[in-house]
Amino acid sequence: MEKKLLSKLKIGEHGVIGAVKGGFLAPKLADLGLFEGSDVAILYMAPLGDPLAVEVQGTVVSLRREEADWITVEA
Amino acid sequence: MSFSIKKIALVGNPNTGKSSLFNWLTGLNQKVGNFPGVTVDRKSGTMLLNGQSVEVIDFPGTYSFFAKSEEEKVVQDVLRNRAHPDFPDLFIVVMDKTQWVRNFVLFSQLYDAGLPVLVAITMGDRQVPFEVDIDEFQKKLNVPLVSINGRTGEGVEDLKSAVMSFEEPERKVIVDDQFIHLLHDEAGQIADTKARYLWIQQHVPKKSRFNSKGKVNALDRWLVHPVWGYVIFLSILLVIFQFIFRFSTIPMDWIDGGFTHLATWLQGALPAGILSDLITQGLIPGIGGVCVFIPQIAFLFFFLSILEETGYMSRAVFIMDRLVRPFGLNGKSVVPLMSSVACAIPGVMSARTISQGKDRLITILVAPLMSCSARIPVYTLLIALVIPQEYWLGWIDLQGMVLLGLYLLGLVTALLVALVAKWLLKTVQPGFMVMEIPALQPPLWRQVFLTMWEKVRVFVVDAGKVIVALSMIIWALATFGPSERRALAVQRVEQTWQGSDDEKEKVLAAVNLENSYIGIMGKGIEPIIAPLGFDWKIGISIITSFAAREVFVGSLATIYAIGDDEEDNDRLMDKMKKDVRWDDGTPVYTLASGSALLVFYAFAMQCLATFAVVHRETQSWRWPIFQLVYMGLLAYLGAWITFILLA
Repeated sequence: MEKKLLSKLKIGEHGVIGAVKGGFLAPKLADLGLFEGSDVAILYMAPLGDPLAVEVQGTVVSLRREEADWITVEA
Repeated sequence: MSFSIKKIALVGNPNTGKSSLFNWLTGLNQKVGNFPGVTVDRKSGTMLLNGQSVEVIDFPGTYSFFAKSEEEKVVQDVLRNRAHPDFPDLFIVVMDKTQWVRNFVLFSQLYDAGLPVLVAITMGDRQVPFEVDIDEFQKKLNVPLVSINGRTGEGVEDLKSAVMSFEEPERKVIVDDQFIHLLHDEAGQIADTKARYLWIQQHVPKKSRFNSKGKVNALDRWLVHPVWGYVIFLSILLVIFQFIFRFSTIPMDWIDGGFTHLATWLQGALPAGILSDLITQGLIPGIGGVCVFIPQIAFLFFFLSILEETGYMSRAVFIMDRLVRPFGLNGKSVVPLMSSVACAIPGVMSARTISQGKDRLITILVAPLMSCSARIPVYTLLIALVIPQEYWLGWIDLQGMVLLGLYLLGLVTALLVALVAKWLLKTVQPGFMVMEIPALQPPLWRQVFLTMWEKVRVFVVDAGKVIVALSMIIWALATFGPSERRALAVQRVEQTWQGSDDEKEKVLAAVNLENSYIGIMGKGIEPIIAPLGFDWKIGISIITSFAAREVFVGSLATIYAIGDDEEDNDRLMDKMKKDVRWDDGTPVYTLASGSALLVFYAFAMQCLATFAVVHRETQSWRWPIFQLVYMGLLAYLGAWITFILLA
């Protein structure tokens, strides 16, 4: 188990969310299932790796890289 | 059977099929307005249940009671306030079977808040790798629940019966009934949301786990591919443009012709006089000027709603976001801006999908800088007039290059203005682009056609009023003038005229326009526009073509006494070429003045309908006026610089 930023995962990799930085974005991320303890997998990325699409709680969510940096995963 | 429910609200997450349920319930008995004070669509309609009329309100898609966007705030305001005029007797919570867990969050909040709820489960037809134990759900929560199919309408009648027989069920609190107090507590909100996710996973687990970890749908692989993704997106845009540019001109000509015939016929049928002129020259062409946009709006929203419905749009947003972000735009701005190359009106209307207020405003403000199809007649006339027909390197057509240059000028300026606006505009709340990418699905044609109908109606009804009113003012200013001055000018022509009656008619039309209020204004602004190389004739045409850019050509035709109904560009060009300045006898249209005029038209707002639609979409006069002024200044400066450089 290694802690890293969600944005550092590669396509196809997955992990469990360890922490989400506090702040205005955190409740929004929680709405879409991105909270501590959720499984996430990187599905695909736009060119330049930004934004990225993750699978979480059975749905696909797209995040900008800077937004994904709010999330730390254990993978 | 009588029942007490008079008002129903549909609530649910985005992409749950809520709108298609709304359409099944209300059909065409719906209207679109705005929630007070915000630019969020308020769709409402009526349905008949056992002879009783019930109002149905389609609330914007919402993930949670804790609002994060303007749309969600609208829902929150209603949920919190039982005295709110939109507070319903019953909430129908639409839950998508394929997004079961996430959809449960909003449902359970409503349930815990003690609001009257009924559940409609959608997407029952979609193959999902898991089953939801609906019986278990119903047993645990004791809530009325109906499965519906948004495609076939199956289950809609059952839903209606469930509404009629609705009774408040007895209920227990699921997670927490005090969550409303967490409005300003971010950590508390997250904990509440998480608790709801976990509750449904524990208490009503899906029968098999959804497990596609890292597996991407084959079609999606193409749609977001670093090369093919863009090729597909561009091809789709090309098809849309093809329709808007080529095929919409056919119905547009019918509409144009129809209104002209109607006006001519009425002119003969009505007793001559001011009233007849008002109707046949002011009102009817004004309404025609509204209706002529219908084909473009209908075509564009036909395609856009297919893209929305199928879920493709969020893929396009996904691949474009990074490219336009440096300019203060986001991926959702791309389609409105590209659409504006055809026509800014549907472009501005389609900006409604941008939920970030600032990005949306910037998109609306810069969209009319994209060179729209109404600029083409102006461009072609002026390019043919002042740009020499030469070839660079023997094969690059100079005239074509100038046309291309004007399109690029519009695009680059739009991006630069967006960049400036990004720095100038203060943000109310930080923007984010966290968004769901819904599963791909075939479009629901019913939805597509209803969207088209709705957009056309919103334009005709809301923007139409402003367009007709303003175009009648322009007509009046171009028709009336100080009577003495006019009489004198007409008399002069009458006394000295020696040509045919037909020609005299046209010269009189020119004299009348020249001596109308607009004519006087055109002459009045001559000192202001002289530094750009423009004379009063251009001044008049600029003022009249505020109605619409293409009016510029017709207005010049009137001034040069060609007759504006003749589409005789050659004769007009001939006269324009020979025209000389009254003071020094040099030609009016030179490379410098003509190019300045081209740049002027690339930048200036010059479109009543855009003005009206921006007013409608921003719910203010401030932004359309601001836009008019900044684009006007840009046009003036751009034309001035061009004139100086080329003179």
